[in-house]
Amino acid sequence: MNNKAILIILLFLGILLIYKEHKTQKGFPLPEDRCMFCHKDVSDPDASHPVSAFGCQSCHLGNPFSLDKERGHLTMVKNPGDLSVVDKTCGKPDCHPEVVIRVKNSVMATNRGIIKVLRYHWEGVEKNDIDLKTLMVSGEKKTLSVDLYTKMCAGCHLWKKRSSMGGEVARRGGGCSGCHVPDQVRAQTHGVGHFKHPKITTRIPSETCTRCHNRSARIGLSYFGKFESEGYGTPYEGNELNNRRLSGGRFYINLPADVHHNKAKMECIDCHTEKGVMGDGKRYDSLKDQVDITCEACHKPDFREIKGGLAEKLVFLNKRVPRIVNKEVAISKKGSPLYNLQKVGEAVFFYRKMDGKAIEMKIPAREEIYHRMTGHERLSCQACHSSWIPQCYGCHYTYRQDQRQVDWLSKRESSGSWRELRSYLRFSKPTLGINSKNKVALFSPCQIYVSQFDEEGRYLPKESLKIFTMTSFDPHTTQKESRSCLDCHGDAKSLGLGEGILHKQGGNWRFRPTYDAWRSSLGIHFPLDAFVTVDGKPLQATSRKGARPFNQEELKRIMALNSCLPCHSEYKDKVYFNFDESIKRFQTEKDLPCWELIGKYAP
Amino acid sequence: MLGTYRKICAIMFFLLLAAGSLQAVIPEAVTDGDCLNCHEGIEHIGKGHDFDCRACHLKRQRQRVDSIQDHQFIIRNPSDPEHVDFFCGTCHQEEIKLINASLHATAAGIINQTRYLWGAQKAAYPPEYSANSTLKPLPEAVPHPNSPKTLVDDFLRRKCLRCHIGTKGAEGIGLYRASGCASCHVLYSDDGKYQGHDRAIDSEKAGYPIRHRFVRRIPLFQCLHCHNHNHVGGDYVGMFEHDYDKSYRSPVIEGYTAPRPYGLDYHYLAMDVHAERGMECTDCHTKTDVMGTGTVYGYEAEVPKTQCSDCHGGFCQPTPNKAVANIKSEGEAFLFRSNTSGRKFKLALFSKDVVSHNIPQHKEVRCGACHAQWSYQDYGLSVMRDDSPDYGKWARLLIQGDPYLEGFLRKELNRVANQPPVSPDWLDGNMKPGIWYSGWRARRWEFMPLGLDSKGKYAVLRPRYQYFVSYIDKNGDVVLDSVAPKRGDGKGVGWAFMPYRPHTISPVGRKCEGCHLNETAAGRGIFRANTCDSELFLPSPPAIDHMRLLNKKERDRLLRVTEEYRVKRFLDELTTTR
Repeated sequence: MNNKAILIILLFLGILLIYKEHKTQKGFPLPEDRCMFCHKDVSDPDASHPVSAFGCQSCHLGNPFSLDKERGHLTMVKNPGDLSVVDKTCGKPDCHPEVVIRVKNSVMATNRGIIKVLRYHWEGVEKNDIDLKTLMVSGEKKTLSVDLYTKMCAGCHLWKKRSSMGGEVARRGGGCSGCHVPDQVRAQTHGVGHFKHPKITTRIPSETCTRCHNRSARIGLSYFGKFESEGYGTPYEGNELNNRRLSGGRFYINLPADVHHNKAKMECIDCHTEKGVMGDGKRYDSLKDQVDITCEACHKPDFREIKGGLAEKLVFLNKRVPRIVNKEVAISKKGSPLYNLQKVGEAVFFYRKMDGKAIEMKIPAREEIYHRMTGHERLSCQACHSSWIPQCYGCHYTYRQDQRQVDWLSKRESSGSWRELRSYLRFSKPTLGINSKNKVALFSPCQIYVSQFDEEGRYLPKESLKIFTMTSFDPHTTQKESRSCLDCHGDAKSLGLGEGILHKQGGNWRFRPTYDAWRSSLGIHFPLDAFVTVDGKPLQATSRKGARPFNQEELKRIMALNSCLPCHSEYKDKVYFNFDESIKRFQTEKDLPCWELIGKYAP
Repeated sequence: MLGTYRKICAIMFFLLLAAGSLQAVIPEAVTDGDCLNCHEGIEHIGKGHDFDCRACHLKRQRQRVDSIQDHQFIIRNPSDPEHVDFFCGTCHQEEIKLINASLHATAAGIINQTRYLWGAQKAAYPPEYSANSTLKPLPEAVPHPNSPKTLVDDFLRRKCLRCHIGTKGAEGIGLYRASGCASCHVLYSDDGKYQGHDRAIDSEKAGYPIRHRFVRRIPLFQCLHCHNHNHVGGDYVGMFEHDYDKSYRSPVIEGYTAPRPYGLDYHYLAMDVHAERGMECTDCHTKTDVMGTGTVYGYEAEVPKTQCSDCHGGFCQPTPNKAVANIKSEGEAFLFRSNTSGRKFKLALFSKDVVSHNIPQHKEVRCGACHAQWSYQDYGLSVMRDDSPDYGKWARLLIQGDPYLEGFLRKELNRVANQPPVSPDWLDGNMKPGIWYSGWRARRWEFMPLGLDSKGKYAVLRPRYQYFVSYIDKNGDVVLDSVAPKRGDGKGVGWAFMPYRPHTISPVGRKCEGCHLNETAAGRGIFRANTCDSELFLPSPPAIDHMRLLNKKERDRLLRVTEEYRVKRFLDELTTTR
């Protein structure tokens, strides 16, 4: 009985509570995010960030409880992707905290690659402890290389505010938005209330990448078949120099583009994975270590069955590449799912991320003979399949302390101004050597002369520098056809000797170089394009540990093979199965067909 | 019949009389003393010219005056084509006749080839026009050109003909020289400053010869006053022009950028081995090579010249040509005595031990096709004549190897209100409206495509040139917009690759793959698939009919591997001291 009464009372109280609650709902509803009071009609940045669910404040901060413009906008951020606020916006615990940490540690945010290489070569600093962030915070006295970095290089990084400075530079940077919010005209329809929000996307157009990646290794140019030219602006157009222009008063000429672009119209993101671009959380000392994609990842793929997880999520975000159901996807070297390379039954399809177009890939069951050749185990794909590489010989800096220049990081002028001159450019006949992964790879020059002048404008001979390095990178000029055997085995420049005549004298190889650096007043006794002497003595440094030109033994072997080439020109030729043995036989067995033939023409 | 004979006699008599009256006669009143009062210490001009000052330097109509008060009637350079007949002609009629017919004076090669390529004449050969009056004089420029055909004479006059002996050309470091006989026979230093003892001459002012002296042995640096830039001559000492953009004003030496001889900076590449050993131009190039034979030639290779085989022997003759005066045999060996230095060189002889010298087909190959180490490969020449004052776009490109253009642009770029451009016509010496700018697509030294020269031998080709012609009128209206000219006989685009003899000789030849199995040498450019820019690496036919590109058969032969080729190449790789 007592229990019953209590139950009835509780029931009554419950009804009362609901009634009361219902009553209060009848009053004026208080919006959670009062921004919407003014910004009534704002389009969604993308399907994952609908304004109706997120409001404005969750990304743009500010004071959502105020209806006053001034107060409401007080702590607002225009670009939530900016790395200086991103911990409170994109990176807050409920959203993408893990990604933000990775991005902040990635080379695009730290610039560690550039800084490390500069400090290593200019100051001999082995262990680099400086990155972009430390330079932004500390006002410490800068060394010469750091000054060069801050004034000539630090215009390209993710910490840079978007729209700061002018021209192409203004379009760089902006943290997450730097990549995920492509450039667009800010569209305002009818006043502030109706507003088209810039789109957030994971389908990043290549223009976004190339506004930064168009200098130094110039990958963003080469891939599209653009070679930064000698600046003539020819052929003229009307009464002007032509329109094939790059930022900084530079021009380009057209050369064969990378086959991935030319044939398949692939964009940067088709290969470069989120882990490769945003990093995996490690603070790498070079871009190369951060990059995730390899040629083999697609052309010799490792397929796995994947259920849910990152691959599904990325496919969902992409919205063009088909869903992964009952399909296998390829895995990158760092274990990222290449969700756009899928195995459907026995067929392998590559899907372009921008439009989802399917491209069927032929993957041979067994490697072709030319990819299995004894002696070619160490060849990188690029060694044979890259048709050209931008080569900038002789980079002549003047550093004048009597002049001032803006520092990209502090955006303030400070004493010391840099100017850059060149000797010459080339693109053909890439030079080969051994890279840090012990592979035969392409090398391109980075040869620095620094002439320093003091505050009075006097030349400082002792502070001036000369540093000669050759750097290995993938030029992104891949072609289906490879270079010919002779292109590497018989070409002095490819071997690293530079342009010139290679000949034998008294049984030994001799080299007569074409470029005379000494007479060209460059202060060195080797040509700018020489990586190594014919005796295997290195002439230039490299920027990575372990990277080097061919040594004497390697040169000898490569050149020895050259003698056999026009006769033994097939990969499957038996003499190459064990070349050392073949040489021995050639020297000892006088009844070989070689000798027979020779006898026919030279009795 | 007799009448005709008499008439001829009479004409001859009058001609002789007239010729006699033209001869310089030493006036009696003006004495050397008058001149030497000021020009104290001036050098004697040289053996064989024992005249006093007036004989050579006083205007014809003033030869008989009593005294001269000022320099009004003084001829600075009596050998200038305008005066040469009157002064030098007295004794050197024969030489004047020779030189006037020579390419140094006619520039017929440059003129007729360019006019043909730009569509102004039906053929480049035989030559129709010359810079002097030996052939038809080059026409005056057309006032309102509207095609490459109507622009070409102006282009030649203002851009190319700076280098012929009718003018003393532009002034600048390395470029100072005189005109006429003196352009070779009176030496100028690179800075154009006088180094003699004439007190009246300011030794700080440029534009004077080194000394007041005629020379017979012309040193290398004198030839380089004209034969510079990316032309034969420059290559002999290894010069290759830097690019024009201001970022190529390198290197910085001891805090300064180096002075720019001939108007530009240079890369120094491997010298010709003859230069390396200390030989100069005139060691090989004799009077006939340089001053001609009296025949009017249409292109350089037509002039009979000293051949490699004259000194080194060759396929046809194993030993040097005994007729060459400077070669003496000494036992088995042959010695060459240099004219310029007097040094003796033991001649390296064409050796049959070298595999490639033992291949009969190589008889048809120029020595230079293998022994040239590098070549001038200047691809895609864009030229623009602009009559409007629009200079801003050239701010980074004002150094184009043309000191006049550079000076003019520097002046105008510093001005607020610009003047319309004017530039000199090097033929008549007048300033004319408009100025020519130029630029390249790419310049390289490593490629050596092959073709057949006028004697049917395989030789290295160089682009000369792949023109893109623009013309902007004085209102800034675009009349011609990067037009590729059409040849005068309608045989396609006016771009040419010409066989030539690179003066970049290496004592060892290039490897077999310098030509064989070499797509670039065979004329297929450097890429398998070309773009609008890389297709400029593909050779176009020469401008003169009796030279040509390789035909399909020759190209295939070069790119095919025969059994014989394989073996010979192997032997070459294995054994030779190339």
